[in-house]
Amino acid sequence: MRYTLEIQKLMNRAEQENIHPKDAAKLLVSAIQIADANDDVELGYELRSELMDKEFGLGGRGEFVNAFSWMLNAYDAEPDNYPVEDLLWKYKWIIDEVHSNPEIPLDQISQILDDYKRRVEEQGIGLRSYYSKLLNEALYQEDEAKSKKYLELVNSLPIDDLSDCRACEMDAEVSVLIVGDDFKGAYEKAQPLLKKQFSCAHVPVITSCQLCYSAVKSGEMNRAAELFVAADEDLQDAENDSSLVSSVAMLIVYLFHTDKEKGWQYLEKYLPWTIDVKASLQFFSAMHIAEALKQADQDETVTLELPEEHPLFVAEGMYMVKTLYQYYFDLAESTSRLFDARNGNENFSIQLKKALN
Amino acid sequence: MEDNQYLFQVNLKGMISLLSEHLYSNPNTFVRELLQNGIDAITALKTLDEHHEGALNVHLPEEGQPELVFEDNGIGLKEDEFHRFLAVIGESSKRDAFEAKDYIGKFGIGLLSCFVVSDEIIVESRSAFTEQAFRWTGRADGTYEVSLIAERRSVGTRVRLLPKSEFAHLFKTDVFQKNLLYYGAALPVPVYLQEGGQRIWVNEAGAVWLDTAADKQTLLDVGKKVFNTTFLDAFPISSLEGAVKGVAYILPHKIQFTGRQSHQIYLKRMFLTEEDAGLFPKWAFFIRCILNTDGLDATASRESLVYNQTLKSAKQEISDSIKTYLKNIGLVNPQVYHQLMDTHYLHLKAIAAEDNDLLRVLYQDLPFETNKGIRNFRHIREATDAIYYTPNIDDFKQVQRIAGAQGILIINAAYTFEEQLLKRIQRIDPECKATVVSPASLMQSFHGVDTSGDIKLADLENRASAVLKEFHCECKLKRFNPSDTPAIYILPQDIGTMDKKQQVSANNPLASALGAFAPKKKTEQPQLCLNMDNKLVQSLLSIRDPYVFPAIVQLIYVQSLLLGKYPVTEKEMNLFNEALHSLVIMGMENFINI
Repeated sequence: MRYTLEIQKLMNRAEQENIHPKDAAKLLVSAIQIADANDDVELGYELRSELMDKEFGLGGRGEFVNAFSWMLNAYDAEPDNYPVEDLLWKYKWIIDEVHSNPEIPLDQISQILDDYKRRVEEQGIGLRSYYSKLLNEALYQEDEAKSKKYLELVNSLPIDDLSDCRACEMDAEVSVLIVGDDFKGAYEKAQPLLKKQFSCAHVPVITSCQLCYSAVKSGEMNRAAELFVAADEDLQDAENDSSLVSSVAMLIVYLFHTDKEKGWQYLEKYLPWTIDVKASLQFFSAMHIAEALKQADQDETVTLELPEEHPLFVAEGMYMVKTLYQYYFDLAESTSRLFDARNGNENFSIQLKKALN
Repeated sequence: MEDNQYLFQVNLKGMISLLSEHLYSNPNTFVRELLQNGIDAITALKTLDEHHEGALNVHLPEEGQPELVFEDNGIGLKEDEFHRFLAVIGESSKRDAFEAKDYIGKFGIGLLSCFVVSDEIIVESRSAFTEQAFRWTGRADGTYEVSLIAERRSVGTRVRLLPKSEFAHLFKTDVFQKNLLYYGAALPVPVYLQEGGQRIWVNEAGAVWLDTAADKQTLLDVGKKVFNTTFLDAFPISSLEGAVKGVAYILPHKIQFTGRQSHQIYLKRMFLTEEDAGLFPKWAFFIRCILNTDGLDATASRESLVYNQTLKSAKQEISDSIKTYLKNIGLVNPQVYHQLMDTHYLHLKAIAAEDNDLLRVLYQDLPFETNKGIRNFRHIREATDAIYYTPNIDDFKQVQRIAGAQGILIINAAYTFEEQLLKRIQRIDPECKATVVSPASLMQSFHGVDTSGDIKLADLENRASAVLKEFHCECKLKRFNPSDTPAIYILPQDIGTMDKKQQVSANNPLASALGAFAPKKKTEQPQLCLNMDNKLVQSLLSIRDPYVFPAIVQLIYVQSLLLGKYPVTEKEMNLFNEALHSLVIMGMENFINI
C-alpha cells in the first residue's frame, strides 16, 4: 500500500495553509493519477471531490466537469459507497459550469438538468435547488421576466438539504431587483446581507460589488462609495479567490468613475485573475473592464504591469489606453456572440451594449 | 411608558457570570483590569495637576489580612459616580471624557473580571473633589451597597478582593508579581508589591525599548530577556498612524512559513497580546516585536486590536519600516546582512517578489538551488547569461542530472514566488534572460539520431516502441550526456491530467459534454529516449531474441520511470520483476551451458 502514503503526502501539501488553490489542484491531480494507476476507485472519488472543492475558488476550473463526470460514473456503479448529498451538491456546481460554457448546446444542458431533477426526486428531495439553478441562469442573462418567474417557483417550495444557503438565496433576490433596475429596492433588500446577519463564502462580497455597480449606474454615488468600502474590505479575505473576478470588475468600473488612479491600481492587481477563466467570467470581466477603460483618456499611455501570459504583454509595460480598451471590448463582444448563438437570443450582446452606452 | 412597550428583563447574575467568566480567556485578566483602572485614575488626576506623581500599591493577602488590596493615588470617585460607573454594566467614566483617547479602558466592564476570583468586590475611594470617602460593596448576585467611611482618607481608590479558595494560588507573591510584570512592565507609573514588610518595585526596569537613545546592545539584551532568545539584530520600528513605536528583532534561526511568531504588544503601555494583532505583513515570520501603540483601539475583551483603516495604515507603515531596514542593512552592517541572507532567504525572497525596490537591493545575493548546488544570483550571472529554471520540483529532479552533464545551469524554481522572482529580476536586469526548461524542452538539446539511412537503427526504434505500446509510450533514439544513462522517460507537460479509463454510466449526461471542457492543447505521447551513446543501448541493436529484447527494454523503461521519480504502477513493477527474473534465468542457463 505504498501508493496511499504517496497520496497522503501530496494531500498534506495540498492542505497547507498558504497554498494557492491552483497549486493545490495540481497536487491533487498528481494524487489522482496515482490512485487511478492503482485502480483505487474510492480514493480516486474522494480525491476528485477534494479537487472540486479546491477548484471551486478559481475562475478557471480545468478539471471540474471531468472530475465530476468520473464521480458520477463511480457513483452509478456503486451507489452505496458514496454519500449522495455531497454528489448532488456538486452537481449544482456543474450545472453552473455547463451554463457558463457556450460550447455546450442547449439540448445537452436540458438533458443534464433533467438528470439532476430525476436524481433529486429519487432522493425524495424537493426542487427548490433545481429552480435556483434556472434562476441563476436567468440572472446571468439579465432576463427579467424569467428571473421573476423562477424566483417565484423557488420561493413556493420549502427549504431542503440541497437549497442554496440563506445568504445565497437572499443575494439572488437582490439580483432580481437589480435586473429590474430597482436599485433602491435592492439596497433595502440587501440590508441583512450588508449587515452580515447572513453570510457565506461569497456573500456579501458579491452582493456589495453588484450593488456598488448598480449604484453607479443609478447615479447614487454616495451609496456607491459606501458599498465600495464594504466590498473592498471583504475582498481582503478572498486573496486568491479568482472566481470573484467579475465582481471585482464591477468595482473597477466604480473606481474609474471616481478615482482613476486607484482604478488603475485595482486593475493591475486583479488582471491576473482574468487569465484562464471560464467563458462567462471572461465575458463579464472583459465587459466591465472595457466599460471602466472607456472612462479613461483613450490617447493616454499608461504603465501597467500585465501578467506575462496576457496577450498584450510587453516587457516595458507601456500600453495605450485605446489598445487595452479595444482588446477587452473585442473579447467581450466575441464571447457574447458565442453565448447568444448558443442561447438563441441576444441577451449577452444587449448587456454589453447597455454597459458601454 | 406607552402601552404595549416593555423593558427587557435582564438576569443580572447571569450577565455578570457571562461577562466575567466568558469575555476573558484567562482568570488572570483581573490583574490587568485593576492595573488599567488605577492607571486611568492617575491619568485623570494628572489632567488637573501635571506634577502629580502617581503610584500603584498592591498588598497581597497575608496572615491577619486575608484580602488583596489594590491601591492607586488617582482621581477617585464621588458618591454619585459609584452609582453611575460601578453599578451600571457598560457605563464607563472614561468613554465620554474629553481626553478619552488618553485612557486605556472604556467599556465599563473591566471590574467585573474581579468576580472570577472573588465573590465580592469592595471599592473604597475618595475623590479629588471631596473630603468624604465612600465604600462600595458589590456582590456577584448583582446587589451592591454604598456607605460612608468614617476615617479620613487620602485621595485615591482601593479595591479589596477576598480570593475564592480555588484561585488562592493566583495571590501568591511570585505568581502575582509575575502577572503584574506581564501586564504592567511598560507602564509609566511605578507599581509596588508589598508583602510582609517587603516592598518590591515590579516595573523598575521600565520600557527601555521605547527609549530612542537606547543603544543596540541594550535593545538586544531586552529582547533576550523577553523572548529567551539571542537575536541576530534589533532595529526600531514605528508608524505615525496608530502612534506605534517599538523594536523589531530578527530571529537567529530558520522559520517555517506556517509558524506564527509571538510578539509583545502593548496598548497605551498596558500589555495587550502576544498575537500579531494584524499589525505585521504576512511575510514577517522571521521578526518578533515589542511595541506599544497609543492610537489603535482594543476590542472589548482587550485581547486584540480592532481591524480598521488606522490599523491597516499602521500595518503598511510597519511593513515599510521593515523594508527600509532590509534595504540599508547591507551597507550598515555587512556581517548581519549576510547572516540574515543565509538564515531567512526564503522570506526575503517572498518580500522581494512583491517589492521591486527591495528586489533591486537584494537580488544579487539571493541564493537559489541549482543543479550545481546552492548558488547566489551573482554567481549564477557570472557563470552564464542564459539562465534556465524548472517551475516544479519533479521536473527539476528529472532534468538536473542530464543538464549538469551537458554544462547547463538550472535553477529549481519550485516555490510559488520563486518563478515570479526570476521574472521580476529579468525586468530590472534586462540583460539577464531566464527561460523555463522542462524535460521535454531539454530533450531538444539532445542530438537526434538519423534513423532513415540505417535500417538497424530504425528497426531498433520500432521494436522498442512495440514493446512499450501497451504503456502508451513511444521510443526515440537520441545521443546525450551522460553516456551511462541508458534512457530518459519524458512526459509531455500537458498530459498531466486525469485520463483514467472508466466504465461510463448509462445515466451520465455529462459524458458527451466533456470534450467542451478539455484543455485546448495538442496532447503528445510520453517518450522513452534511448541514449545511443550508452553501451547497453548499443548492444540492443544486435539483440533480436524474442524474450531477451523485450525484457531489457522493459527494464530500461521502469528504471527510467524510477529515475524520473514518476509513479510506477503495480503492473509496471510486476513487469520489472518478471523481466529481471527472465534475464537472471537466461544468464544462469547460459552459464550452465558453457
